[in-house]
Amino acid sequence: MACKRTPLPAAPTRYKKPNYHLLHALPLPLSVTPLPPLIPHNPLSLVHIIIAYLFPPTSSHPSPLHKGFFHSSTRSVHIIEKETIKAFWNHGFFGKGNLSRSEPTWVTRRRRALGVIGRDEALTAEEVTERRRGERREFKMERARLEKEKRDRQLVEEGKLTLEGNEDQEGTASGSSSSTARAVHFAPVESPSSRRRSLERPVADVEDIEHLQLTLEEAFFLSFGLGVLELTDSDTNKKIPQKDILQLFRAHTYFPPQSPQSSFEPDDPFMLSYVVYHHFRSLGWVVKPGVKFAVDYLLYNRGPVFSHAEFGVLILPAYSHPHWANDKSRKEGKELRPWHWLHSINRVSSQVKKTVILVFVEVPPPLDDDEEIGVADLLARYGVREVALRRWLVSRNRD
Amino acid sequence: MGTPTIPQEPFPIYLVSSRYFLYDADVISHVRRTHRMSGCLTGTLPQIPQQNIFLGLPLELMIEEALLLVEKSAGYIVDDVGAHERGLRGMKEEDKEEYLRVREEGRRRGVEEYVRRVEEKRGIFARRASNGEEGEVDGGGQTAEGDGDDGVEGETVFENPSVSNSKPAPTTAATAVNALVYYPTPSASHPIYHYHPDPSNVATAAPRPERTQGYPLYKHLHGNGYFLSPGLRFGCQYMAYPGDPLRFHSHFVVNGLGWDEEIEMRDVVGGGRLGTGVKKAWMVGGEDGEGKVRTFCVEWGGF
Repeated sequence: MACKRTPLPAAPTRYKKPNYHLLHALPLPLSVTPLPPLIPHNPLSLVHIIIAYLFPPTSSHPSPLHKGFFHSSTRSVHIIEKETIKAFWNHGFFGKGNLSRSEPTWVTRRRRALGVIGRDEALTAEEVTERRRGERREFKMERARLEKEKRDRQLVEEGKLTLEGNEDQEGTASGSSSSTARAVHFAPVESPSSRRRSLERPVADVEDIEHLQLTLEEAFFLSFGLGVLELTDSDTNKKIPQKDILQLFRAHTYFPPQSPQSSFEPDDPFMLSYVVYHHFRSLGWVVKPGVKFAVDYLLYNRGPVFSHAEFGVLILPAYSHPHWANDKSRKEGKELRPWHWLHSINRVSSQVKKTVILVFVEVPPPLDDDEEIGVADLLARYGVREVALRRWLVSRNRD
Repeated sequence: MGTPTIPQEPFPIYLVSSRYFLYDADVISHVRRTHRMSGCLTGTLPQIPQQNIFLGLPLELMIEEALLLVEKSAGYIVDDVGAHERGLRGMKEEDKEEYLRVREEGRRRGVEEYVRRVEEKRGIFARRASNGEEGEVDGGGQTAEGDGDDGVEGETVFENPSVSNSKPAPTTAATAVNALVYYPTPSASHPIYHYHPDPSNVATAAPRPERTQGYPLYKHLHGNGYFLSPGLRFGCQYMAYPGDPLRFHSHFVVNGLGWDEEIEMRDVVGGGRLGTGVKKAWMVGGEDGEGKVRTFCVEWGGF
């Protein structure tokens, strides 16, 4: 065969990553300073500790607090300030960029597309993935081509391949280049950035129009749990007092949103999901929404930049309190699920190598009408149980 | 062995603790061939109850399959436990004796046949020993004998193994009878043990299978020529095959829903992933208010 043999593409180049361990050193957007050491035979050290405890050199909370805008229409909280976006993403991986897959990187990708920064400068996660997939695809096509060539040669040697086809191929190959089909398949893709640059357009820097979106659970954790976020209603442009936030968020997990003044059931979607979110966040996991893997939450050990999520969390309400004993609609409508549903989720999760955790939230009985308790006491009434679930295959689980 | 007999319709579908079974292999192959239902073989060997591959009779039908067969009046439901008890109680003494006599007769005939063949073979051997060099002729005779044996082989398969020991001449049917006797276990109850209600009699008939939520979609797809098999282990209600599951891969992973049933976004995503991960389409469907079934397919685009 007269076709030119091209060597296999070189091993994929690895792109340099930023030092994530430094960048994401803090697990939460709080700055903490350790207390001075206690030296038993030096009473002055105790004084140091007391002073450091009562009058810390730097506040753990930012001042002023970070600002977020609650949008009723998107049922999310938008963060617009650059500093806040950085703090929330780098320290705890809260939220997602509205124009990005996860980390707000739109401006970097845009600048690269316009040629402001170089082709391999400051690569974002999306771009690395895209390139890796492209390389993989090319490698597979090249491998398939070489295998086919080898097979054809073998067949020609054995005299099993009809010579007509071969002669045809040789005819075209000797004409100008390889066969047309091959030329179409393996033409190098011209990257948009190189094309843009060659046109020598005036390069202007890009204005960042991306913001960070927080889910309601994340926003509530940051404002109630950590106390670093202050919320403003984007419709009225007024600050939302801390005590109203819970009611507002509970109202907005229904569709269409209900009035924040109405009284909610103890098993409304926001309470269930927030209880689980808070539970895993307080155990140190990075919790991200998991709808793309058909679960409610994904649990990352340190963060999405370090490793893949290990676990997928399914939130299931449990009505084991005697108050619900006669509540058929809840017991049968919300507690019971069909087996095939569980199997489908389990299959999808094992496809992406995650372990499903069924998280049962014990729903407390509703409060009496005149009872008023704080948010912390309200959350303390809920209980959380976890059950790990994995697909068991005889052949793969044999010791 | 030979062409399968086509069973008479309606055939009984046995109901045991809210599961529907077919016991007769002829009925099963008939249902598969003409009604496009494969069901699920559930029988294990008595010694290996944890066996989970290569199962045998009986065949379990899905509720939808049983209901569709009843609706087409191809089958009727028999409450198996009730029918068995009623059959046993209503059995007359002479029926019982007749049954035992027939069974004993059949067994004895089998043993006699076997003994006769042993004797014959022994005769051949004896003749060969006396004739000495005329082995070639006898060899030809023996092959013919061997061909003839195959027909009776089937009947003697379950016979008493003690008889098969090549014993000296005085072996007779009488001694074999005194030994431990085995009978083949039938896959279905004997008719006289079983009271079969008249399918046309509404009063004695067992209740129809209950209409499940997925039934309209099941019926719709089945009516369009699909084979549907239970999809529990694939995470759906039914798997839809374009033809016999032994010949085709399934095309759809099917879930039947109510028309106004709410379905979570998460489960739509999961369904799309589930189907696309195994190169199928995830299908949901249901009956709208006017009795028309509509179906929707979801595929995952991001792979």
